[in-house]
Amino acid sequence: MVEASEWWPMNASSAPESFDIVLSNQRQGLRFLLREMWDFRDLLYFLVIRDLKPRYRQTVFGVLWVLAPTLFTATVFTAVFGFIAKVPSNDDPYALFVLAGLVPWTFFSSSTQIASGSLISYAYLLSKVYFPRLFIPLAPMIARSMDFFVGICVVLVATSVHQGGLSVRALFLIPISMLVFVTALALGLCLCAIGLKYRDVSHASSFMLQLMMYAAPVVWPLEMLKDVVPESLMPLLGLFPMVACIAGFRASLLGGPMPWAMLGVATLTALLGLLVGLLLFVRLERSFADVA
Amino acid sequence: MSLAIHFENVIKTYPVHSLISQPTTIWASARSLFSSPLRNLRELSRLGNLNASGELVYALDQVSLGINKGEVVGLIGRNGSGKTTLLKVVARVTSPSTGWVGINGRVASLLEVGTGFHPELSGRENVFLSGAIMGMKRREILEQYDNIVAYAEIARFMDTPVKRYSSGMFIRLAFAVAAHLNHDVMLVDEVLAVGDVLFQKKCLKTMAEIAGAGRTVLFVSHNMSAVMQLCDRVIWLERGKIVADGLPQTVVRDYLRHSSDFIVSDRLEVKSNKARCIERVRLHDGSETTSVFVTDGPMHCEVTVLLDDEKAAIDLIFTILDAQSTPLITFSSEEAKLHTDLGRCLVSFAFERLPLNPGRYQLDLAMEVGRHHEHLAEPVSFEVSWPTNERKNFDHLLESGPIRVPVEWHCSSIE
Repeated sequence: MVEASEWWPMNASSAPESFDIVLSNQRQGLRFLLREMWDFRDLLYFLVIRDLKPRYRQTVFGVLWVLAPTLFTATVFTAVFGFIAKVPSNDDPYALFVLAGLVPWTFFSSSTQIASGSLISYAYLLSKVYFPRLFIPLAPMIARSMDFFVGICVVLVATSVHQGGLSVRALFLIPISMLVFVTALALGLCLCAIGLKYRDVSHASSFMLQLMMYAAPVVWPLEMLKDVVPESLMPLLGLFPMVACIAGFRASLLGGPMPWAMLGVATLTALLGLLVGLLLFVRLERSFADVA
Repeated sequence: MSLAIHFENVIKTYPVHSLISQPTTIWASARSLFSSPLRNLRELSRLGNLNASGELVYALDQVSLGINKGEVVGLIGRNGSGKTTLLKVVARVTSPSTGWVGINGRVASLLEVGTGFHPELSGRENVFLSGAIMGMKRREILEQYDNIVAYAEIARFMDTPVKRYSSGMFIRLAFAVAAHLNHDVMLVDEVLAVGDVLFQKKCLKTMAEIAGAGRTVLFVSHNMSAVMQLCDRVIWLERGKIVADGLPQTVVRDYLRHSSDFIVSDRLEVKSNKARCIERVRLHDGSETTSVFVTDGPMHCEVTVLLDDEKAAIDLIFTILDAQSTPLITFSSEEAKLHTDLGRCLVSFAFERLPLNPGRYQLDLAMEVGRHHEHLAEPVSFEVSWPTNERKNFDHLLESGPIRVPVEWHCSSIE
């Protein structure tokens, strides 16, 4: 029998520095991660395609399904909250008012939901092949942004029909939409990184997101809080960035004062959340294959 | 020569789930319903934790090893010996618990056929998706696309969703993508074990071409003849440790000799109360008991037969089968007219030059005594390989049949 280690001559050049990649239980830095993502950038494109293309195959209505959930929910909410409960909507038609809230919220909740379950649905790949794991929650979220874009177009058309044109303020929708994306990404990263190991997360997140919709001013106007929350504390509502995003969305579309301070707090919170999410993800990334 | 892969004292552990005692009374189960979250949390937090305490399994146990660029290395060992874990560490799928691994060049991991295929997408879309997941750039896939389709031989179906494919078409397309990867280091795990025999041979041929192209290949397989044909070097793992590391012929021979439940070349049949039975079958190469033989080399077989009740003429019928249990050669001792006394006797036959090409074979045996029949409970397996000093010739090997016969050649020039 041949002795293991002696048989094959070890090379002299076996210092860690002489290799392109060194794998150990040390975590890779954020810079390394970004470089890897750049190297694999083509994959992100194909993963987004993978998410987009099969979604409406073998359906009768096809891409029309993008609009269906938002439009149906808006109809039901208009009936329940607009006609029956008579929730005030700042003198705008309630349908338009709720649509302007539902479009960003639907994207936030559906993309957070899909990102939080993404690692679990990719579990079979996690133990087979390496690619930047960050793409796994990122790709379906980018795919959902297409729906978001369509939703924004619909709400723009509805607003211009109602108001007989659009104001320049509608351009604010671009930065606010980005803020919605960052918020969803931050939460999605945290949830998917923890949720792969603790499957409680997927049970909790689905109904928590539903409840959170009532905490955010989707069906009710933020102005209703004026009697409860003192004016000086209003910006702090931005600690839940979606509150500011929805208020900003409505202000850009339907007019009214833009909640600048609240949006500022929201931006800081979302960016901080993204940092936390990234660090958590990178920290847990190495154990994904063992946990999945 | 420079290193492609280097392992330095690599340990990979996995926590073992501890057994939880089941509550026996109603009160105890009600209590455990509420106390279980804490216990679950403790149990779950050990998962994937690199410094987990408690009972651990060592999937890799202090593995140090260097693999040079261009080497084709076979990894053998029983199930659970750590072969796949070793591959997964190089593939960057899991991290080592301690120690480090250095890699030079791009790594492609073919741990299964059809990595990343999506059933709803068309063949064409899947080629791009799967290629990108395995690390190809879009440009590279575009360049190789026609070759991939030609290799898979399903040009007509490239726009059909993959879920409508037959399993054969699926495997062909999936392997075609893998075969056109252009990485420095290729990790292959039993990919060859799928598809029909014809396709397996095509895969094996492609593997040989990949191996011949100067790339570094790590190849996990239980198919010893494939390992011996493809590899320059073989590493034998047992319980996460390297047992042997060296030339394929030597390591495979040692491995096969060692793992007696894998191939039994010296077997005692379970004796019933029968008066006549085959007691033992032993294969040897003229001196030592072995189950690895060489093409054109010697192979001996000894059979111990017990004959208790009557003196009779016995006839032993041997059949050599291939790995798929197709009979290849049958020969019987009838022509030798063997007569035995009562009691035990040893019957043997020998090939001076074994007429079999490299591969895995089985030897089956039936005994006829008068009107009675006896046969082996299970055929004896053995391997045939090329003589060590001979060059491997894949093409010749893959297109050839299993049996070798002496042929007389003539060559003369014609006016």
